[in-house]
Amino acid sequence: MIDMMILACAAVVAITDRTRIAVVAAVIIAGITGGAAVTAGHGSGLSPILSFAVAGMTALIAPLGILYFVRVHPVAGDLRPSVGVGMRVAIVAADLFIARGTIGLASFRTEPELLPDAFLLLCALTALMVHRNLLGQIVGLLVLGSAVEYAGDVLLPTLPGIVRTAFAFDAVIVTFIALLLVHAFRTHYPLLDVSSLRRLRG
Amino acid sequence: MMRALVILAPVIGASVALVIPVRAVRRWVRIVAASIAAVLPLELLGREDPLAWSMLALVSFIGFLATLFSVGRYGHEAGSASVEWSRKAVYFWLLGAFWSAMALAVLATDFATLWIAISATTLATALLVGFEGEADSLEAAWKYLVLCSAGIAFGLLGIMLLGRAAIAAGLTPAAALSWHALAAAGLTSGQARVGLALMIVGFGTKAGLVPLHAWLPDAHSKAPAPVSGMLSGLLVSCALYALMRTMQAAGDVSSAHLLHGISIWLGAASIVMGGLFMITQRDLKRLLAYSTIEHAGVVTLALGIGGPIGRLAAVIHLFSHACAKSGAFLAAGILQADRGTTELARLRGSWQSGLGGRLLFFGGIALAGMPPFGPFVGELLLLVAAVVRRTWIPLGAASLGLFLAFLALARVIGETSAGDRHDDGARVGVPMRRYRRVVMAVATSCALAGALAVAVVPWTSARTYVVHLSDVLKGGTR
Repeated sequence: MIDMMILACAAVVAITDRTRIAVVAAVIIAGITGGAAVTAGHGSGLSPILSFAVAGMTALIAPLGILYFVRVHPVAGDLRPSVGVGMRVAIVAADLFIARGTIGLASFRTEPELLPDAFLLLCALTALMVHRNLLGQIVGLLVLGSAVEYAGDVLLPTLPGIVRTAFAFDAVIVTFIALLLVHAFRTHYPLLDVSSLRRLRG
Repeated sequence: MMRALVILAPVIGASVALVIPVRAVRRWVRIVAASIAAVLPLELLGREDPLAWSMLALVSFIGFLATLFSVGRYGHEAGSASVEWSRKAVYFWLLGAFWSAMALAVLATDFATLWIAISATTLATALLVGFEGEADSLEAAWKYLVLCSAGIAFGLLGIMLLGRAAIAAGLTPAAALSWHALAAAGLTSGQARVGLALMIVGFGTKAGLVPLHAWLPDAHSKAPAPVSGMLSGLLVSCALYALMRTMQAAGDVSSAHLLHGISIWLGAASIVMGGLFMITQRDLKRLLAYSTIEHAGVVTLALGIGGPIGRLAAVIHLFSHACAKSGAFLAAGILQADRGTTELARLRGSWQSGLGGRLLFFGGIALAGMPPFGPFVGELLLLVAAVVRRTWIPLGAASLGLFLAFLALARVIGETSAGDRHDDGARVGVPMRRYRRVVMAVATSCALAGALAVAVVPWTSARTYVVHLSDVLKGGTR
């Protein structure tokens, strides 16, 4: 059930063209992976309260920052995908195919629980590459962070608590630095379109 | 306790300066705090792994020079008014945080701490890259933030896979991420290999290796000159240090062969592509940024070739390039302050116009791989190592790339030194008092002297020490 929710939300992040929908899907993913981290936190010596705070940072604080930005700047509400919806669905289907293939490799055959994580990772990369709105890239980074966090819960539950905390802080600070940059971008590129970032080439 | 103090000293010093109300006193507090942070590592001499301590000394040396240069450069201006963070106080605090993060990176003894530190450098420097607030610098900062955050996330995934494989091989959770324990364990599983390869991707992205380099030329060319010097001289060096530790963790078993293969091809591609792009550049800082890719390639290729000579080449080149590149970027900063541009066509005749042009001349010949500077020794040893190991294709690629880079830098040296001064009327640079110019010139000269010192060290009584440094990288030894 949880795996299905992760798969569905990951697909939504890559396919949708609305920032708010992508953020809500990212929040659900972060909530699930954060919840798993709270459970795994006991093994790493992280207290449940700190684990909860760490999970809350990625699941709530960073997405709230993005939603506030969208509210203030409505133009940021459109993710402006670079390909049509049909192509995005096809890419997500290919992501699922690749994820299944990866988990079928000899090195990972003993880790079937990594399938949703591999799919999440690929969907995060798809979101980073497909959405032309700069906020789409921030959402993609957040989902990528959730995927790595979830992989940590599956692969290395004994990962030191300090790394989990640092990773969560990292995700939140990256989000707010990115929002600061996007805010500054508005004067130069009102559409917040990533394709306008082509002044530096060669 | 002392380790914590060494790591935190730069950011504590920057924080103390924030609360000083008098501008002149604040400037001196910054210089004194940076001086203390620069000498504190001496307390750790003999108590740390020699390679880690030497990296710490490098971080402290260049961190101090960058702070000194910045006090001269930003002595009276606050940067761009168009972005909120473009304030002198923010600049110096982020510079201190950056310095602290790199000190943590080189003092780490396990991959978890190393990852935290390398990741923190991105956070500390993203706003520094976009400090000028212009469209170009914001674009560079965006690319830097997104690509490095994504790359380093893959690095963490690799660390987790490696840790999983280590625990499966019988290591305790506490030892599973220590490179010494990993090297001794000699992991051969598929998961360990994938993990190590992902770590190469993660740290390789921060080092700007081709094809993971897209952010580097933009970020290094658009950041303020002292930050460019630290990014090119130190951050890339810290990322390469992380690669060295990754290869050390692979030990001397089959996982290591895969890593050596990847390193050889990433290194050779970086040297060739760096050289090719250098030829086409019209901007001094951008050319220096591509030169960083080329030099990162030299270190990576030397690591990939391995053996005593390869390891020695990697270590010498890492240190000498860090000093030479910082010096060259600082010289570019003096020229930029003087002429208001880094366009090569408008920097003609810089030799006649002051210290900036003369320092750039020496920085240029150091980076071109000419004696007597350290990069010459590093590149020579790389070629010898490639011949000894009979890695002919990478040797050919490296020779081509090094030749192209030499041509590009020879053009820069020729145009800026021997050409007639380009003068298009009004002076557009930032007017500076004499003492500020002297402070900047002293910082630049010290960086270039560092590149010279690295060349001299192997031929003196300290030779055994340098060899010992490179021996630290041998799998399974401490």
